[in-house]
Amino acid sequence: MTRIISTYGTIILRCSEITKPTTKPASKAIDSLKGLVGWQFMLLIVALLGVSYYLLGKIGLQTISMWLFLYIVPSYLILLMLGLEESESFVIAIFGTAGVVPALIFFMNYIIPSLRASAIILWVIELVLVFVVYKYHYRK
Amino acid sequence: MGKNDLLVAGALFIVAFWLWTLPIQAYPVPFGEGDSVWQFTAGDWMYQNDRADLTIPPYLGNWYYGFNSILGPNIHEYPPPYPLNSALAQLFTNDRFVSAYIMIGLLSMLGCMSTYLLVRKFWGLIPGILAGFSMLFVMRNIMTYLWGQRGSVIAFNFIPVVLYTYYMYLSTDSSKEPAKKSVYLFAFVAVLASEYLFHMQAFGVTGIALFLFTIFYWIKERKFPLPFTKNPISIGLAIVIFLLITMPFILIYLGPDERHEIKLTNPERFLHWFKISDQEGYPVNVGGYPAIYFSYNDVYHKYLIPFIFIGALILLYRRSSKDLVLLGWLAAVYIAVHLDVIGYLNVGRAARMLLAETALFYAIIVVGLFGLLSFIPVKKKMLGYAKIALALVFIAFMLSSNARVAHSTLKDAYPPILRITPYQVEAAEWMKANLPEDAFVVVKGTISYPKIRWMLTYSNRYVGNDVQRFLDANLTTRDKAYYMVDYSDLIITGQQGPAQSLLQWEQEVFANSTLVYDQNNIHIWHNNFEVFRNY
Repeated sequence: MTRIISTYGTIILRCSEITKPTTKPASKAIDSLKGLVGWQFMLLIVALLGVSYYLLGKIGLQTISMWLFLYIVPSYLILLMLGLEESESFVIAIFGTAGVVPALIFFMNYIIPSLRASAIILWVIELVLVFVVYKYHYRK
Repeated sequence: MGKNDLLVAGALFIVAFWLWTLPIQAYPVPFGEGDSVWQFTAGDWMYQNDRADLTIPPYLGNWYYGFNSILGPNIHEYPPPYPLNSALAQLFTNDRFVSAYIMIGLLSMLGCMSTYLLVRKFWGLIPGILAGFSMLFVMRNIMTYLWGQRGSVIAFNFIPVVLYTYYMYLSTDSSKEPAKKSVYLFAFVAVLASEYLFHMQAFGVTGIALFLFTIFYWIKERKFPLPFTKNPISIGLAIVIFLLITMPFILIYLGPDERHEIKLTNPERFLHWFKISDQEGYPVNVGGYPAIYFSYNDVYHKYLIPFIFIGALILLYRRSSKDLVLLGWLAAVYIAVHLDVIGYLNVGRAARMLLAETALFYAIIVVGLFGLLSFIPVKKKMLGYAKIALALVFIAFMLSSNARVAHSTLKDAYPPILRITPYQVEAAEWMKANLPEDAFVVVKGTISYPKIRWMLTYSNRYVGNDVQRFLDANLTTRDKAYYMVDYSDLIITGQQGPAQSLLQWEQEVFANSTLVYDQNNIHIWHNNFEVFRNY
């Protein structure tokens, strides 16, 4: 019995040792992203969502959330990782996506028979792009 | 500095969002003139079908702008990505009106952000704040937004960012920061393509400004600034991306077939910035715009106008490469607002070009203010204090003048009676459920033209002033025609006299017709009537 417990104990200990190195880079990545984004951008996002809810209720919150997460955040992160400053990344993200994001959704809609589905797929592509830029450009 | 700078931009954005969404906060019902209904309905069609292509529904295409000489009938007036912005807001909130109007307000207010970026990066934080802050209260932009020519307001907001990214692309040293130079190139392409998708006029002015700035920069630097030979792959790829995004919509812009005879009329206008006193309709209305649209006292302020001249003189005197951006833009706007003199545009379209002027003039005003300050021989520390003091005075001045007017205009815009009422919404929804899709409805009695058109949006049926023209052109038949007599507004506003005469007229005209709808003092008649107009 003691041997069994000891064996399982060893296995659990080994497993925790194995998992340790895999969690380290993930937390490093999060720390690195936190450093990139900064509390100012987080505050801006929270403030925008709060103000939109306060002024225009649930619909305001939903609209601004859609705009922030489909249009702004992915392009802001990409521009930031590519070396632009925070405020210029924010403003260029606003203007660069205002026409290009709906244009891409419009083109995708010729293949995918739903605007909503096209937008969601584009959003996933944007997230993949953020990851690719992070992994192959920014982290290097 | 960089991250805190973002807080300033964010604060500016939040103030703008609060201010420019006041009309929809005050009363969550759509507002605006005919153009606003048209542009909203184009996006609304996408929302209702969860699909988008180059076409619009016949009830909208029959109204105006629906015919494209190349693509045929029922085609978008603007590239579909523009109305798709509001459709996406509708789709992700399942709300038909407020969400779309939040998106429209958000995009329309962005002049403050683009002006802030350009001035802040070129001339510092305080000038940037002042220029961006001033753009919140520009009455010309606010009025155009309220009336509904939102595609143009939004597109003209792009000019400072397009110029900024282009300047940064040209001025970034490719030997030191090759990657960053490419980022600016692709950012420039994205911003320019986006602008193109909103309105052609702004894109045209931007094109002239970019061309003139390139020439000025070339002369100043004594070498051609575009590195075609150094990084041809980047430039080639950027051109391909730009064409892929924009070219699918080129026929929309080429289709309306708006032609004017090219001839020189009244060249004396070249000596003025934008003379309206010689135009038809002056002083009440010129080219479809009321006099206030052209009033420099209202759009800027009489005390600020001298700084436009001072700022322009300082720019001409200094001629740094950053100054050349504003000088190129200034020359481009001058050309654009005089295109009516050579007959390329009518006065109404040329007047629309004045939207390109507001961000420019506020940037120049700020350059003038701080330029003058730099001529005063004081110590650097004192100059810093003087700048802060000047900024505080400027902000206080704006808050007590332009901001007050802008706030009351936005807050009180389109009171409930000038927006579609619940009774009219109910009637429109009944039409949607009960009338054939190709029905044509004439409305009489409703107190404003836009409200009639909003019933078109709510009902998904053609609703307007005149069905006779469709009958004359054999585009419909009498059995498809309906007539709405609407007393609801007259009763709400207590207009007994006009209501009585309307009743008398109704009894005469529809004596033998069938009353198909009778609710809330709104009647809809069908068959056996001879009047197909409301005038």
